[in-house]
Amino acid sequence: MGTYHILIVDDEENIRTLLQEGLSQYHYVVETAEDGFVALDKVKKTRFDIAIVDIKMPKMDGVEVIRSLKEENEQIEIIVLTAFATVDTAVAALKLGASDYLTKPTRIEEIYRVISNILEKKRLKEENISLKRRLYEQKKITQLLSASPKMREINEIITRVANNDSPVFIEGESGTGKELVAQAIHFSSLRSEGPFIPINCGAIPENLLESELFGHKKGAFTGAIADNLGLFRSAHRGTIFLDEISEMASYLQVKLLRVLQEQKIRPVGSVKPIEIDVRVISATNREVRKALSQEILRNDLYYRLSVVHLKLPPLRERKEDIPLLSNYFIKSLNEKYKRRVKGFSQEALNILHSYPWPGNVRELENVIERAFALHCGDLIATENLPSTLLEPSSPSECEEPLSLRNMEKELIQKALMEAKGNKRRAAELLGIGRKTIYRKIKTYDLE
Amino acid sequence: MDIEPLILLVDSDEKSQNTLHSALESEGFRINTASKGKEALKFLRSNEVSFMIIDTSLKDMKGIELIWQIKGLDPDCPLIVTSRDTSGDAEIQAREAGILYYARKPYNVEHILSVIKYSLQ
Repeated sequence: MGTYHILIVDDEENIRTLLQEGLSQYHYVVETAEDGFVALDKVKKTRFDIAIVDIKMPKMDGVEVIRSLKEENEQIEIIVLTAFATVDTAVAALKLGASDYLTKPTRIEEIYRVISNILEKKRLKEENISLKRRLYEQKKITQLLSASPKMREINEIITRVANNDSPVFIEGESGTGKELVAQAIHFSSLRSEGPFIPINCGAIPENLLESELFGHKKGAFTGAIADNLGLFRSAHRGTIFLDEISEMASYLQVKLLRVLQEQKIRPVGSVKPIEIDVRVISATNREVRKALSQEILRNDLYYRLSVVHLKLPPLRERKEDIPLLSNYFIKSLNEKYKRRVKGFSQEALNILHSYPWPGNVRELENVIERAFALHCGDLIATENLPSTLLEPSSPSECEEPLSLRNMEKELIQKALMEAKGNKRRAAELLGIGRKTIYRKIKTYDLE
Repeated sequence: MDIEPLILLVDSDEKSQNTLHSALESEGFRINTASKGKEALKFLRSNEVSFMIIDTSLKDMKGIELIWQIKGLDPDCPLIVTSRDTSGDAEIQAREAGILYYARKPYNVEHILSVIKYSLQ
């Protein structure tokens, strides 16, 4: 727990001195400002936790001060000081986001009580957010559970590498859980208290990726209107996860390599290098050997990033995990929707087992969510599974087109009903893309 | 023809909401706006959204709380987060949630447009 910074904004000097001396004895770092302009200047330089603001001041009105302080630092908590506790001023202040107000003259003990209340609330709220975050992460990480020797080996490596800082490179097809593995490493490492910052290098336009990674200074290039920290600085004392790293332009791969060698970044437009303390985990869904030989991924960068190399097996190579994962997904869905689905019929399980799962665990999860939504009863049966699973080896047109069309139409209708007309959700249930469902809705005139 | 993607824009500041709204509209996107977190969550529960742009300064809840709630509802929906915060805290918290792009205010509308267009390609 760090020291708290408090700013006192009051035009009366004796009140400023009184409060500064009084509050300093509680080990707060206290600064003062005689008007709104000085206050705003100070807030720009220091991250204050609390500002105590006199509502009646000549140069800039207290209400205006609160508004501009909040605009500069939205996390600052405000206590309003007022000579006359009129309902109007108090309401105006609270409306602007002040946490509390005190009537002058006030005793230091009273101010201290209000401050510690606010700080306690703030701490609880922050704890709550981080708890929610951890719960969310941990729930997902459970999905790494596995009976297959290959995945057990990976789990062992995760535990082993967690407590050193070696860069880890994860290779695996889409949907095999690369980000989950990266999170598992981060959350079981000494850096778990620090941030885990993921980025999909393939999802950001090339001209913005450099400043996304390393930050930029205001005015560094056309349109850089404000400073940007960048991901490496956001991930300070934590882990950065560079997903789809092979999609990064070659010149950026060179820059990244230099950053990793020097452990320093240079924000775009800045001459001053900044030291970084970040663990790097990267991943690709391409076959690494091919990406290297085609020079999509630079050799020098790859060797730097792959001190530990993990190759996640596709689901078809760890079929023993299908029942385990399926039951896990059913259990989570039961909890989420307060239902009591017991599992799958033997025939349905056989189908799940023999399908090749090109979309891996993610596809399995989508299929199960869809089946869960469409069925009512104890056990999920074959007819609840999408037709694609039933004819896995023959995606050909030799089937009768009309009946397939009808089945598809019916399935889409059912999914739309189940998703209460939400198309994206229906697409998820069916395990198909958003664009596809839009097209199909048009084709079958299901609007 | 596919239906144009729907973007949910959550910002309590009318001025910046209007700027983004008209920029997105001229690109042919469908846009829905909300100024409160609860409003945004309600909309999300019954509508399909391709993209969300969320400002961290909302009147009824912290932007980061909204982001995590959205992550629980729809982990795959791409999020762009904007903020006036200068301390860096808002940026770190938002990035931790696994967002697509972060833009500190005053931002360049063109950057936001290019991220959206690139990702929908």
